[in-house]
Amino acid sequence: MIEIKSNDGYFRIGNYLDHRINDERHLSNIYNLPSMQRKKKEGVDETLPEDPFNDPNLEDITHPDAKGRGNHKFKDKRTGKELRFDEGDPQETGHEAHDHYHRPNPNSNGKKDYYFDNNGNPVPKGSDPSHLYRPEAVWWL
Amino acid sequence: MKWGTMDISKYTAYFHDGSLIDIKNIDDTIEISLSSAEVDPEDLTDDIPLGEYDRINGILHLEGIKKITRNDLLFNGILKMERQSGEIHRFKIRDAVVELQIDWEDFKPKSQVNDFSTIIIEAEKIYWENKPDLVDPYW
Repeated sequence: MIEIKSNDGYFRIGNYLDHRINDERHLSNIYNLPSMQRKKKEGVDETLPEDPFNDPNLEDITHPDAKGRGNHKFKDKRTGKELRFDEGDPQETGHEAHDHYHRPNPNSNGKKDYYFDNNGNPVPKGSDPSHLYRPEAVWWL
Repeated sequence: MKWGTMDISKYTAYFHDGSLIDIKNIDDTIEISLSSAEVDPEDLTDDIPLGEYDRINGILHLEGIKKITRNDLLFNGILKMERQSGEIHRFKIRDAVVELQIDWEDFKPKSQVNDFSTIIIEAEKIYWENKPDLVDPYW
């Protein structure tokens, strides 16, 4: 249960796990904050690793200065292709709040075709389809 | 609040996977040009004109620089672009402190870059100038 302390006491918002999206939208409305809890239509990829840190096919190539910052890069030993994994921060909203992956396009010419979507098509950096999720990770969408 | 400025601190989560475009140093002021990731206009609670590809574009002005750290070490040099562009992993503003986690990248010519910096800047005053027409040369 989320509790928010106001000047005159506490008021309850609801069960966090069951109603997180509604709660975040409600909180956003109260404080006039952006919610970023929008529907995600694309980006689900069941071929993504469940645990990239213990996947024998992946080599961790994360830069030493990025260690502990939630920003990870892996190289697929079979294909040589890079896979990026961003750890979610529950204090944040939108994609930043949730574990997700990116597949960089090695043949990109700029930011318009920087990543692949879940169908292997080039998509722009920062676009919604460039954020890839395992099926069980999209409960929040 | 100045004309053309807005409180960007509540929108910093949109900059995850956005771009660091440029850094300029003018006396004790630093200007950092940033572009967000794709934004759904329905999510915005303010009237923010978006740039091309539905991005929040603008310049973060930091006046009266007090302290800079880079990768947890005190930085006394001139803060500059370490590569042609930077992918923003994290952008946070708390009080008068800005944190940027940047994954650096080169586009022309494209090269495999694996550089990462965590930059924390403390300043006397921080404000955002929204610039929807900001140009990112690497689109």
